[in-house]
Amino acid sequence: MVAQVAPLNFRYSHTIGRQETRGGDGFFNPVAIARGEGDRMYVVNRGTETPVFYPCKRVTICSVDEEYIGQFGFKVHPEDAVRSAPDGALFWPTSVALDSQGNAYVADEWLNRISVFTKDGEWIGKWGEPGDGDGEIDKPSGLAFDAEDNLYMVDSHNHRIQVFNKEGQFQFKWGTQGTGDGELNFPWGIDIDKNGDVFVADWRNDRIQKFSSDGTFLMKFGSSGKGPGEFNRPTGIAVDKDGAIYVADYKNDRLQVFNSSGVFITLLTGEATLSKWGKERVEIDQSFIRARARSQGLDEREKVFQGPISVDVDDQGRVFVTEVPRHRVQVFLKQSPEFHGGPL
Amino acid sequence: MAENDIALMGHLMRRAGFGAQYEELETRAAKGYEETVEELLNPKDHPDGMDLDLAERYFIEWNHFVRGVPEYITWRMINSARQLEEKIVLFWHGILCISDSKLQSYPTEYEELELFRRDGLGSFRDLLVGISKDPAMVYYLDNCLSHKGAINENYGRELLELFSLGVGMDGEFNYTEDDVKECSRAFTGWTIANSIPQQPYGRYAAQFLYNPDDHDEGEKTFLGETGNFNGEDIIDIIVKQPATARFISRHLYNFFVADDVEVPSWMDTPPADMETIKMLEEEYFRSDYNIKSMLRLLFNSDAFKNARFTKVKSPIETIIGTLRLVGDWATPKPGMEFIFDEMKYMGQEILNPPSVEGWHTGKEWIDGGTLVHRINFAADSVSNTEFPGVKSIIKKLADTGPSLSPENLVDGCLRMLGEYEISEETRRMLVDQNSKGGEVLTDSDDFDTTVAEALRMIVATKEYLYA
Repeated sequence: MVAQVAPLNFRYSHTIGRQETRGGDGFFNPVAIARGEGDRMYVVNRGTETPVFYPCKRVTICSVDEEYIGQFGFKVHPEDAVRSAPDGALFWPTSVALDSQGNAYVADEWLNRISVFTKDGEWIGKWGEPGDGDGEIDKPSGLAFDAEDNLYMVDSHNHRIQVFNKEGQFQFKWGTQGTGDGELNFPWGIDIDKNGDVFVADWRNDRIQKFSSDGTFLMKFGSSGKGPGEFNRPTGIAVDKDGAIYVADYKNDRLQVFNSSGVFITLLTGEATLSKWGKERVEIDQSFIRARARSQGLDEREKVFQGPISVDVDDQGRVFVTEVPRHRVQVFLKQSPEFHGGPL
Repeated sequence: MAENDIALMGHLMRRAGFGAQYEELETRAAKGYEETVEELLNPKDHPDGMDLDLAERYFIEWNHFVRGVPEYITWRMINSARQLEEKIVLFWHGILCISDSKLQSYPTEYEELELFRRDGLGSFRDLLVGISKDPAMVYYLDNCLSHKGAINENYGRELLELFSLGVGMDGEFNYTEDDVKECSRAFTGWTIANSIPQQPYGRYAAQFLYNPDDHDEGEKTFLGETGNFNGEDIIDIIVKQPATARFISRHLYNFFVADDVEVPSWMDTPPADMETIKMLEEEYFRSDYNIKSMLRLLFNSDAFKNARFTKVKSPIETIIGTLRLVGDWATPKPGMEFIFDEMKYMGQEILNPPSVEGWHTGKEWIDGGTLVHRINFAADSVSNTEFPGVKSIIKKLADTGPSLSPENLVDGCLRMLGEYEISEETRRMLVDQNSKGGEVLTDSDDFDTTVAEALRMIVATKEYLYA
């Protein structure tokens, strides 16, 4: 289906994922996504805190074509979710960002630390000290690297952005709690455009703010509500190479798209179909196939976004939307005008 | 401010909510009793009664309630400023029962709890219509298996027996077997859409569906009235019965005022306090079956005000009340599972009542095993000096003067727990236990632990089982 809204059109491509509580081909409460080299993608699974589900907290590596590649990170029991939790442990993982070498940096809002893994999932380090001083963090949410491998971190409970080098050394910071220009209120997602400008999902202020790379306020857009251009707790944000801005409007169950000036262009509400992994799962048990065939309104109910929490976009114009309770990623293709002329 | 005002406020907050810390009791007592009743009935603060969005941010499973519903309800009971709304959810959850062990569909169960939160203080007629269309109930009591010409009586029977009329009143039966059948015929066609299977994308809430082709349009005679009744017509007849007024009044009395005998005995055992029940019955009809009106009258009645410590706390009241008292779980953190384990060990697993009859209450909550868990949970909580509520109690007692006699220590702790009343014998025992060191200096290093120990001993008394 094509969303016919000028000047940008999006065509639904496919859905990736299925509910998979323990690991392997599927996701469990995915909260973040990052596109890696080639067709790789990294999906952060928040899993559940119910102790019986192990090892549900993980980062899944798979391809855009839904080939499972691997996973890393693991869950600990809630009683062991403390600062001394083992290397590689995750408890409230919230985001993932890749540096220029493809290493994956995973933020954990409960453990207040960044865990670093190679592109294939080998643990290679961690950093982060809780607090509100320079370089200290309180519930790190979104992460994004700039072209020089500086890591911009949303330090959500300190209502600020902190910038580190990739070894975790503090560089600079900006932001304080509030509703004014440049002030933040429990911010969540972050992305950096090709010019180095920084976009922040100012979660509790229901708006997006744009800053220069040094933290100078540039613009804002959005307000609380359900209408076009309004938000109900925006979480993820991504900016494509042409400057279009994608916002996961979490509690409105939709993705909104804006032009580089923050003018609303269109919104997507989901077009999910049965994924490859999903098809494999239901085909194991014929009763699922029969039940799906009998279920009234399945297509309409199943396709829509529920809890779209994060978004990423790649240079091919593919938009990836992660849905928490549906354990999947919906992929859309940004349409470019094409002209086919020439001799017959 | 008179101590009695705070004691009365403590009573109101334990019954109309899950208890409150001493500071809140002082604030509310200063506002006044009737004003607090009104505020509980018509809360004007935040629509959720708390900053729910922040909790949702970390308890990510609450999104669309595919999982995490017990955690969500528990969080609300602990943290909502709209305490009566949460209490009424628990009230109806124990009467209009469904069970997760059969449904295994949290999003569907969530919808029912929201029905209780939304309509639980409104018209009982509307609530009965709502519960009859509630997909969780339709499935739980098999109304989806009841068809024109082949009825399943399960829902029709429980609607009459356990949800509205009760088996009998004043020694007389309230309905006949024929009424059950006719009632069931009227609810044919009230069914659910076929569910979306949980694979591959997780569970979806079930949906109510009215299927006119499967509805028995024939004439029915129910409780002496004849017509082509549909389900709503049946409910209209049910709610105007004196037995329904009695049934709801006894439930409200049993939950909010004092322990009654168990429901199956209500036919032959008259209410202990007939005067109050009559008052509630009259208000039920006067207000067009409005639960809020009945509760307003009840909370402002002498019968309610004089019923302090006459009711055994349910496990959920014990746990939530203790957590509110000590100030635990005011912010999101890992490990909520242990709360449900405690509820289970104490005999009240949320979303899993033992049968459609709900939980038996009163002294049936207590046996050797559950008692140990109650005492251990409460004792461990109130003696943890890291909890903000315990710290606050210690500070308030320290602020009373340079030293405390054993008597003042015990009395002070009882006051901080919401003006708890205990027998003179228990008080003497507590004072004796706390007399070993004589006067306690409030600036001494071990004052914290001394207070914590005193609190630990108080919550282990028989009196603390009651609210």
